[in-house]
Amino acid sequence: MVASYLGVGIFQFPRELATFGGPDACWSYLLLTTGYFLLIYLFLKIAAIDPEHSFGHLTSDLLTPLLGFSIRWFRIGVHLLLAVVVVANFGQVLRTYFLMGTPQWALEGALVGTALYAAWYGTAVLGRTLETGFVPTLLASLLIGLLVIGRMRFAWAILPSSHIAVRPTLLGAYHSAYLFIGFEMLVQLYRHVRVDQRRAAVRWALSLYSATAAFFAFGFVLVMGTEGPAALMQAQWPPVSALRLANLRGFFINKLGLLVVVVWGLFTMGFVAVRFWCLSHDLTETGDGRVSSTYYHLALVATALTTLLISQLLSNVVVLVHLFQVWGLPIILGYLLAMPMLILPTVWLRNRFRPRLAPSPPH
Amino acid sequence: MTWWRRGLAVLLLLPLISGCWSNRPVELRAMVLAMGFAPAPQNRIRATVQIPTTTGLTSLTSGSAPSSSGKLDYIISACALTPGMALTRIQDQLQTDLYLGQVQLIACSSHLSAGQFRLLEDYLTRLGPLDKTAYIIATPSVRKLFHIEPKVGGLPILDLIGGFSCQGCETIMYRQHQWDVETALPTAGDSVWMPYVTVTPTGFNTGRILVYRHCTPVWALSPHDSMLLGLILGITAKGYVNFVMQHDILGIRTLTSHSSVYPFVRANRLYLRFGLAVSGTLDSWNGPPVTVARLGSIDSQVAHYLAPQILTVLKRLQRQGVAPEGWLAPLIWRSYPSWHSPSVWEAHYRKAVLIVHVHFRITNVGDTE
Repeated sequence: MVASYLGVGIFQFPRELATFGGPDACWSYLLLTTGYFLLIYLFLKIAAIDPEHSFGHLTSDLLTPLLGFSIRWFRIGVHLLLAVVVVANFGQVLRTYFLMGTPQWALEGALVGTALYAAWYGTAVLGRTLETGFVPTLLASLLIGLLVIGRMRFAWAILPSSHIAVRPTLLGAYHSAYLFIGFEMLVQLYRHVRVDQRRAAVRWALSLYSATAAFFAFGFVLVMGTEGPAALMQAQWPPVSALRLANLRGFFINKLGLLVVVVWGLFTMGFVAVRFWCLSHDLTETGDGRVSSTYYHLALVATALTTLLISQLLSNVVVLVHLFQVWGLPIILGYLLAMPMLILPTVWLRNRFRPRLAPSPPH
Repeated sequence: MTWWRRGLAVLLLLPLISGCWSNRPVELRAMVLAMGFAPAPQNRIRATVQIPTTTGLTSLTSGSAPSSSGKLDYIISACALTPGMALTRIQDQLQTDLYLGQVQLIACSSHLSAGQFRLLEDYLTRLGPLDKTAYIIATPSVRKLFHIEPKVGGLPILDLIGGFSCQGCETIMYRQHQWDVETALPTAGDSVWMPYVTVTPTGFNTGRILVYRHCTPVWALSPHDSMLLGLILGITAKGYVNFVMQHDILGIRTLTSHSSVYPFVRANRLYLRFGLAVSGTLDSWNGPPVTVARLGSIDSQVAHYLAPQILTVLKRLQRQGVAPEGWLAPLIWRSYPSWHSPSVWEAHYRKAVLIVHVHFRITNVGDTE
């Protein structure tokens, strides 16, 4: 679940927050995380409407088949786009700091290959793999982050401004909205949770989201405090720049911060693997949400290859970020806001006039 | 999957997991210990690198004198329009891979033009493998710095680096990392400053600070002024003052300070309030024995002696539009973006009212009263 959004923004955050939010960056972040909390809650409600059928079936059934069909293909496009963006971005991070001589396709191929392998054995295996890797990595990031705290020259920049300016706050939140994009696959995931554990799963989803939001808040404090707003706005990957300061003289790996950055490859891999899982399910699942193993594997390989091929076209991170901010972000955010607004009132109207499809709320 | 297929997969994957396939063995790498950048004719930049030999490397790690009398290092330089190109010219003179991942010292000539300094900092900021915690210094002559005669202990430049890494060894803890410079440069209300190292026949002369306005060095402070600036910044570890007080000679050592800067705007005018709590050890005193009353008078005398000098240093920095350690940055950030242009904040700063409060206390009188 956390893997569905953690990988996308970890190398970029909090550049846009500082650039657009200015001294209101704190408030922007608060707005952003609260907004996403509500969105996740709404999507969990959507997931609970009809857990026995696929999301494609639900949209076709509730809205029209044509709209259902379009939404399904739109979702496929969105997941593919996210996978491509993350793969290309990680490839460029690796090439900038670590493996300058290695071609982009090899680095990205390794990432895509690992993600493919992680998603190969299905939902449960993928879930367990990510669970094992994520907790230690998060803890290690926090610990290494503590090493950098001594170098906070710009601690003043963290303090929230006393008068809130509306425009920068909104802009900062909007442009940083990539941070939790990708969570909406929990609608699909919900069906795979055992019936008796669904309520617990909802609680877990919301509390894990809060923990991730707190993790990013810590990241914000750290990066803003060490780099200062001005240098941060110029940095390509601000958290990587900040973690480059964490080095222990005499320890056998002296550039400890950079080690953490490599380990973040796990988050990226998790994100991409979940995307592949999602894409393959969207491509192959039938109305009752079942997926044939052969088709699932075929779709996995196809999506992995497509991701790898498209990410080769994005050879520069400046182009990548520009395209994502100008096109990707508004389209995906529009979709995320439109779904609950379309589906939840429709269900409400339908239950009112034709009480057939009883919603089972998450609580 | 059968066992042999798994085994085969593991065997095939094993060479890949190290992630170090683009690494090279140490003998194929020219590991740069220190590099320097100075201006050259036709607006070019001369890059100089110091590469320790294997003998030099062992003296570097073991800290002991090298056993053989072999050459410790070699120094190569080249000129080009950009620092990157100059380093490529250096690579042309080498048969091993020029590696900047272990650079510990970056020396900038104080004669670099503003454009060249900006170009250099931009280059260093973009450089992926460079260690951002490398120390950075300014010097009037990069060539002299690198060609200083080696003493018995090993590479002389290591003494310089050692001084910076040793907390409280030098008079002022004034080490600056590449990171400090590259973050101060774009920050509105912040100015770059660096240790200013000159070369004497016997070694390095440290203890001075060079301040920059944007990318131009504007003032190389004298050792005493540097000590005062160190007190203002709270980084002086072993400050010293001596003066005559009512016909008695007085010396105070290990001056240290806790300092704070508070910028605020009142009636459209900028005020900067500096508060310094200085303490020190009574070191020399040829007057009557020290009593409680006398201690009090010494305290206020020292404060009266220091305050105008500190104000003079501050006024000169203000005239030049220099605000080291981001004195004005928090204020400007809160007003983002209205004060952000350098012309705006500097104009406000130049008209600002400076208020200095110095509080001095003798915390130690030594072994005698």
